[in-house]
Amino acid sequence: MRIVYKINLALAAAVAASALLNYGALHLTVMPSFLALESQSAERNQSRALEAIELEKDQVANSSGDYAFWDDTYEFMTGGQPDYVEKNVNPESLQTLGINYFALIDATGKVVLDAGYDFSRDEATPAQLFGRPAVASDDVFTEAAKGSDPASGLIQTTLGLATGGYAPVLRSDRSGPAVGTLVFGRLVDLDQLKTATKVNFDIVPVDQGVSGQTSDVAIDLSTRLLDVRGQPIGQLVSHTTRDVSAAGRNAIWAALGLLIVGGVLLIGVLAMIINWIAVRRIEKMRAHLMAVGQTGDLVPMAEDTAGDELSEALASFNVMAAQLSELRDKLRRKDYEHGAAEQAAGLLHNVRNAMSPIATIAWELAQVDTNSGRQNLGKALQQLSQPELEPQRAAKLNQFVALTATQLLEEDDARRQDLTAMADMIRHVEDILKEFDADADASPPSEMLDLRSCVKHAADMVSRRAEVTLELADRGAHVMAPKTTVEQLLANLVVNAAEAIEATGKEGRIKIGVKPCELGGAPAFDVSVSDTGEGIAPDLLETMFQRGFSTRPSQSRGLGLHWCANAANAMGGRLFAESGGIGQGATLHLILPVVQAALEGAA
Amino acid sequence: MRASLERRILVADDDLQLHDAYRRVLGAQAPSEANSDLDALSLELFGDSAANVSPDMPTDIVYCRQGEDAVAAVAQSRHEGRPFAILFLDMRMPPGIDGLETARRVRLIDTDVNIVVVTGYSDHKPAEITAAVGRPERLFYLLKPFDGDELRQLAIALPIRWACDMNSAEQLARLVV
Repeated sequence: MRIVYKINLALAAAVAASALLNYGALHLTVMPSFLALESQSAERNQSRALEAIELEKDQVANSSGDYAFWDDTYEFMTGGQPDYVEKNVNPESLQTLGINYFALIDATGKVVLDAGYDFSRDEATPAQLFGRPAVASDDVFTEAAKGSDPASGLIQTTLGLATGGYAPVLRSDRSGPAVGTLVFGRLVDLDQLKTATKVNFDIVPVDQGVSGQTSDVAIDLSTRLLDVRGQPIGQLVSHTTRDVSAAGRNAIWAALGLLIVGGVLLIGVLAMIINWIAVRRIEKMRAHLMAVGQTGDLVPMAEDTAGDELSEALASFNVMAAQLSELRDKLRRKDYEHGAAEQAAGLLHNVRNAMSPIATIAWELAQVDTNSGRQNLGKALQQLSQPELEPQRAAKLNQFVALTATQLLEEDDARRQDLTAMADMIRHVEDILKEFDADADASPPSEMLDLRSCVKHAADMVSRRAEVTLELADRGAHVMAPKTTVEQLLANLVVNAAEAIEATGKEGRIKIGVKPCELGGAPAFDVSVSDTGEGIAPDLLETMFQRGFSTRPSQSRGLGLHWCANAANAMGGRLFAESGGIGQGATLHLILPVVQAALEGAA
Repeated sequence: MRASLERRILVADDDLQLHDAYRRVLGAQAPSEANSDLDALSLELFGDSAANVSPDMPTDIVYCRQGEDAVAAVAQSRHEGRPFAILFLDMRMPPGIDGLETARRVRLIDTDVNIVVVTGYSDHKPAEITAAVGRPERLFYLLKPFDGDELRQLAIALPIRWACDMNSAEQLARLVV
């Protein structure tokens, strides 16, 4: 997996974890406050509904007091005021008072007056609170005559639940004795109460089951209501919708949403910054290292000015690559030299081995010349020519001469054979030498070289002997050539230049240039090495590349230039010199084709 | 004391032409019948012989082409009680072990044999060979192409010295006992 994907994945995971933690934290800290607020709101709604009912009861009780403590009412109860009902108990006056029922009970419980109206329809419809001629003498209303203040309570009527107010009937100055009880009743108008209190509530029968619990959408609270006699008459149930906790939940989700959006933006920005700081550069390094791995060309990476660890790593790589490159070149040269030395040793061994039998035959032939038999033959011939020789000795001498001649003839035959064998052996030595010559001609393998780096390398060799300036082509100057040969050739040229300067006894300059050119119509590069040295006489410009030429016998220049010219030719290139003459300095040009003709043909 | 020790020579070289060269220098050609007649006549008429054979030249020469064969030959010679006086040894004998390794193994079997390293080019320096083989007083070098007289002189002188050493050692051993 690519490093950029890994980093982005890690960032996304961090944002997701942060969102989850935040959600948990908000849920644990914020939600309880919202729930408490909601619960308080439900309690408040319930008490406001109850207060509204209480207020109704108080209003009705006060109204009942106004009429109970009135001389007209007192007189009516004691038999006076014949037009009391006509004047006071009519739909208009009841509606003005805001009550539905107007009843009077005497001290014994007899219902003296039981009137009322239902105003819920277009026309006021008569209605009764008690609907019977008397109530019990110990009824709460009968008993109320014994008190002195108005009282209130809830009453169940045929038209529904009503708030009731009742008071003993006294004179206007509240003197007695009480002559009965006045009862007012007002039907509970839930719609009006709800509007007034802005609380949604209901009054339901006692036996009706109330959830009384919290659901997802609302909180229901209920309170049991008692009537004037202390009996359960119904339940007040308030509904409070759970807007607060819903708002809390929404707030949490909104916060979470913002966090995630912020996180995504943060990831984007971070990813861009990380990409800019590291990933982009790591990718560049990776591409470079892969290119190095594939081509084996240990080129340094572009300098980095960021001054961080990556820059250090890059610098370390460049140092390492330079060291490795140098070591590789050294190894290659050593390898080449070792191979050459090994070849020379093999040649020496083979030649000396082949020479041994030749030397032995030569030695044997020399032995024959010193053979005493040959010397004695001379003596025998000399004695035979003497006239006074004894016939017996003469016969023996003749026998000796014959035997020796035979032996010499045999030896001569053997010698001829030896000489034939020797000729074969000499041919064998020649074959060995030919074989070596063929091996030596096999040039080292070519590779892609940047002449600019080769030239820099060569320039380093003479940087202490003269002032060296480089004029290199802007782009890579690549040629296919054996590296060791090119390096040795360039080394020869710069060392020659340095020696030419030193020969003048003055300080001088060497300028090395690499520029594209053409050689026989094919693309090539011209490596020029100019010096301010002793210069070359015009008649020597051609001959200076011949074997053994040198203006300085003690130096190796003669052999070097001859080798250089041969090496340049072997690579399909050219080596030539330019000079204005003695004292004018010199320029040597090495022209190397981009691709050697032989290679081009093969490809 | 033994009347005389048999002086034997072992040659190890992978080149058969070199074997021929050794034979030319060391090989004592037995005089033919005609030659023996001539010798007798020459002796009678002029008081010297035409034969050119040294009486001190060892006659038993064994040739092998590989280092391993040379080691085996030395081992066998010790086993038979007929040790070699000289081993003429080439340094490069592909495909088998080289001269240095051959000399090292031979020295382990036979501490007395004179080893003459005969080579055109050695991969090993003399000091290196001496360190690996030991007994420097019995280690010699002869450069190829060798001179016949030089080889001949070594082939004569070293076995005589070797025989003397063997006899002295034997006498010394007897005195100690």
